[in-house]
Amino acid sequence: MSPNDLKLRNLLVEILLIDDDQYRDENGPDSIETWDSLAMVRIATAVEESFGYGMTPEEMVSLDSIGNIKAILRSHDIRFDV
Amino acid sequence: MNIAGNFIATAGRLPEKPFLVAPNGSIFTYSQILSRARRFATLLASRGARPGDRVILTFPNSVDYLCAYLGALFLDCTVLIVDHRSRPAHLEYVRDNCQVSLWAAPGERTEFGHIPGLVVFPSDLDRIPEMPMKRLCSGNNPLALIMYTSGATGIPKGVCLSHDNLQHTIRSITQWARIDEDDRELTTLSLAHLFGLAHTHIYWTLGGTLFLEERLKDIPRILEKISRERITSFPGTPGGFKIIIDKFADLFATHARGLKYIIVNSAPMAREYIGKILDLLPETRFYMYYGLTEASRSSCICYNDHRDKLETVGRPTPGSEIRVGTPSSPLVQETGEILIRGPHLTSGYWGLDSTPYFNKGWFRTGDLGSMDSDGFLTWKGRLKEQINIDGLKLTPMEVETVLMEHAGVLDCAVVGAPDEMTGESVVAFIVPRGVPDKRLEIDIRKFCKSRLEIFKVPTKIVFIEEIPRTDTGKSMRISLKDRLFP
Repeated sequence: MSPNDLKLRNLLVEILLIDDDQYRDENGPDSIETWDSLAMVRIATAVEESFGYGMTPEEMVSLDSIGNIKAILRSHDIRFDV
Repeated sequence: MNIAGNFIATAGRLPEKPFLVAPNGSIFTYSQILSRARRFATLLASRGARPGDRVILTFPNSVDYLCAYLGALFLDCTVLIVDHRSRPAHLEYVRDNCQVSLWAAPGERTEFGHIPGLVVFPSDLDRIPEMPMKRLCSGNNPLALIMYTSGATGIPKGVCLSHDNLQHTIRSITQWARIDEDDRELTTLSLAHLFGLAHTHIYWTLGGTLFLEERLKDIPRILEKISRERITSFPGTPGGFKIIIDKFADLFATHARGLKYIIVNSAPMAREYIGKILDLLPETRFYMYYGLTEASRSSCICYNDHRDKLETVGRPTPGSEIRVGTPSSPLVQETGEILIRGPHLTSGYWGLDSTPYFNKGWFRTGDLGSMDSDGFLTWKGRLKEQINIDGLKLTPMEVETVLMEHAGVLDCAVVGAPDEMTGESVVAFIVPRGVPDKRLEIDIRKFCKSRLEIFKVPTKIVFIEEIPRTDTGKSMRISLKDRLFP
């Protein structure tokens, strides 16, 4: 697992209280019960603190999966495992 | 009737029976204490004390303290008890608030030297003549005590308690806890607070014997004393019993099995610990009661008889009425403010307009609770401590109860911290078993997630060495909140 994956996984485990094996691209609000609108804001804030990228409001509301978070960060040259 | 009159009656009935056993083992009979209290009454009168005057006592648990207490009551003074560990500013506050001219202490206290009106408890008390019996308890002052609240959540308020209030409480506890003159109680409770003090009233009314300890220290020695002295009653706080169970369970089971009963008060107790005590001492009645200084012993339960109600603090005591929400249409199985009515209820606070604290004769406790369909009350915390997460409400206790079930948690307290997004967020202060790390933090939060609605799961956990508590075992949440924003 790349350092950025590790960082994002730890961040999501802390906010969403997911198990490590739930860190999969397809998982999102539908499959993670703790992923509510409040969690979404906390994720965006934590991502900015950890990766130095502040999401736009549009990006924030489009956070519908872990894969989507990675995609947004990738578009800003932050690398993740494929 | 003056509660000190109960003592006089018992001293007449059982003059040679031991009433007090000092921490050093010295024994004092009822007649000896009567004599000493009458001498102290003479001293107070010589300093100008008259019926209705307010007198402050600030003593550690001791024989002298109870002699001074009885002496002041014999004169029909109103007694204000200030914990001897209080700072001078608190004593001054109480003194000014109640327009007190005399205050008594066991000796000179240099840091209090600027406060006028000190009556030192004399080492040569026997040289002072006894106050004539016919001058004791003239019945001219209905107000027995003014107990100042701890002020943990604001300015201390003086709770006025009449002799009638206290007489009712004596009768009520005696009835439901089945205490009698053969009982021998070992108390480590501070007698500066009503929990411990009310037990002295009961014992001197019935003719029982009290073994005094200054506080719960050197637990193995205290437990050994319970069996050696054939103690039948051991009241305590949840915090005290928790330490005993965690550290000295075997000793407790060995030495305390002769106890007739234990009584717990002051704060809720984790169900796990109640169960452990019931298992360790199956022959001992385990009572819990709920009350406030303003309405002492309002509900009670004997857990031995209700193992399915360990989360509750029981049903109303004889004469006491409890409702939740509103007096006219009380809530059942829903959370609301606990209201209390009964002859044990304070008339109000000294010098304050007490109207806001009452609703049509019912005292508004400021506590949250719920009543089940069997009439058992569950205490859920303080109304002021309720946490509001974006409109969703919870009490610290709901979370604390779950946290205490986690193996890694030794003690805890939950507070609401300001949060930009949600108004407040749940923060748990935890005393861990062992060395804490990030893994433990996540594990505890996941544990909460598996047992609580998601908004109640702490968003932050702060590991600390000790939860600050008041003398009566209540968490000082205000002081914990201050730690978040030093």
